Amino acid sequence: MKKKIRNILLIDDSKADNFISNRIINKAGVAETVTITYGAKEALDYLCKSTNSKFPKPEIIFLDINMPGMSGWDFLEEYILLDEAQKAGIIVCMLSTSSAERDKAKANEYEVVRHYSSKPLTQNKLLDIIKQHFPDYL
Amino acid sequence: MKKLLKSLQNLGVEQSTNLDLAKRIRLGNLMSIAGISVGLIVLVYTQLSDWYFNIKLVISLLVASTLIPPILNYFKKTVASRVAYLIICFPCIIYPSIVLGAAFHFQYFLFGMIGLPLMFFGIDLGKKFALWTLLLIIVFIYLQWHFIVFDPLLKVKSSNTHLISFTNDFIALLSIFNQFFWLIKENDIYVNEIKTKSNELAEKNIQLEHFAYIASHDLKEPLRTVDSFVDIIQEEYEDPSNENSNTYFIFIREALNRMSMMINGLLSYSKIGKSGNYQMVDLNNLILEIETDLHQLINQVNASLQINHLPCITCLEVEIRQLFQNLITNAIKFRKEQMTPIIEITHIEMPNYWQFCVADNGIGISPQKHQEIFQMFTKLHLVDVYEGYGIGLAFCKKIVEIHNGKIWVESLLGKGSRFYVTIHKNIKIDEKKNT
Repeated sequence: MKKKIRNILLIDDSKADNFISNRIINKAGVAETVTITYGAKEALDYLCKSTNSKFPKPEIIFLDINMPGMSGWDFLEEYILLDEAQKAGIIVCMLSTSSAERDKAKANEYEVVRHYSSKPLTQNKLLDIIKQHFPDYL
Repeated sequence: MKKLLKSLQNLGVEQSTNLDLAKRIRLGNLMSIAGISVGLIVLVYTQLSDWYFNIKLVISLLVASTLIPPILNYFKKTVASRVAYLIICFPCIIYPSIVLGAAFHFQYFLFGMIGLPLMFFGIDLGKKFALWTLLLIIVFIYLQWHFIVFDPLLKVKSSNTHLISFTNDFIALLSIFNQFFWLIKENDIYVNEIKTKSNELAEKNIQLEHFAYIASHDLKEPLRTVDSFVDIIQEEYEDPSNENSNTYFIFIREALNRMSMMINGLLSYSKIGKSGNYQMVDLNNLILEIETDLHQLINQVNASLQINHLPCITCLEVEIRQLFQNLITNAIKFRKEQMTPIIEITHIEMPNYWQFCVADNGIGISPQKHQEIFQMFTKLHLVDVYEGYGIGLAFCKKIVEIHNGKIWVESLLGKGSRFYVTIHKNIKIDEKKNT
């Protein structure tokens, strides 16, 4: 058994979607903790808050694009400006299937977005992401 | 005085009367008031002069008759009032003409009456207005004849003949001018109304298109959530030994799939026409490509596709491909059992458009359903017999309408169907695409 991913951050305004993602991650048993946030603002606050001068620095952020108020794109704009010490490992954009084509192109413009996946998160998709970006974790 | 005038003018106008009608009733009252005022002056003048008693009597009667329209208005007979005004005008013009002769130019008032019905009843009188004009012309010609054959009843020796004839001319011309002015103003109101309406319509259409897109787009998300949780429930609580629960899950899945397909259908429907630009497309190649795409289906039922040489047309390629593909797959899908489907695609060239026909020897459609089949989600058969969601022909209709064309079907139950499609020729090739 290889080591687990320390922390995964979920950003989605939908409680149901967060619940589903959380469940999939827990079932796959790939992460020690899953942090759930319900908006871009809350997520940024979380990333910037240090405990014992250490930032949370999650390995993976699952980011929903279509959120009311501050959208996923708005989050990315703010995220780029963060300190390296505050940034996460990778960001995965979660796209709703209906607007996938348009959003994919836009997601490509952000260097920090290393992966995109269509909603909902499934075990296969999760394992693919980990295989691709964290090969020594499985 | 002002108040009196206003209340006289508003005779027959009620609060419930619409603005347009009120305007016309007021106009009638106003013109009656003017007529009565002139009539009273004439009455006083004639009573003082030493004319024949008979002439005095008729003039008095004529003046009295000008009271009829306002009285009718008072009794809410507003249409009769305006008709009465038009009728009373004739004796009021003919009588002085006959009495005083051609020199006083009373006959020219007839021309000042031409536009009156339009002002009184609106511009959509049609034939009635033509008859009215004809009547005026006939009366005028009669008067001219009358002047030649008969002398005036009164030989008025007046040095003011020229002044009076000039005044009459002036009033007649002024009323013609006034009528033109009124009609132009009214026309402007109509034109503006139509413009506003058509703008509103265009706006509504855009909103509707957008609505279909947004609705289907946003409906997908909750549906996906339901789908996910059905998965979770099935995973956590499914009991393979409980046959009932299995059936429930099957029904839920079917409904979810169906809803998802319908939403996707709506979404694609709202995207029709946005695939790209207009370009020249060789339909022969296009049909060949469709044949290749469908070859599995075609071979499976041994269908025969007969295509006469087709033209190159300017169109949206993706959409037109979908149009023909839908018509061909329909022709194959709704085939008769135990019969090889034969599909024939032909065309006729018309001056302004191309007309295509996709004919099959399938099960046909009863004439009552010929309109209905082009509506979204309309199905004529049970899913078990012919599967589908009832969106194919709705797509075809929208595609054809985007190309300024029409689509219709000629068919009888059991006698095969002929789907006709017209595509307008004058759709300009998008220049961006060519350069």
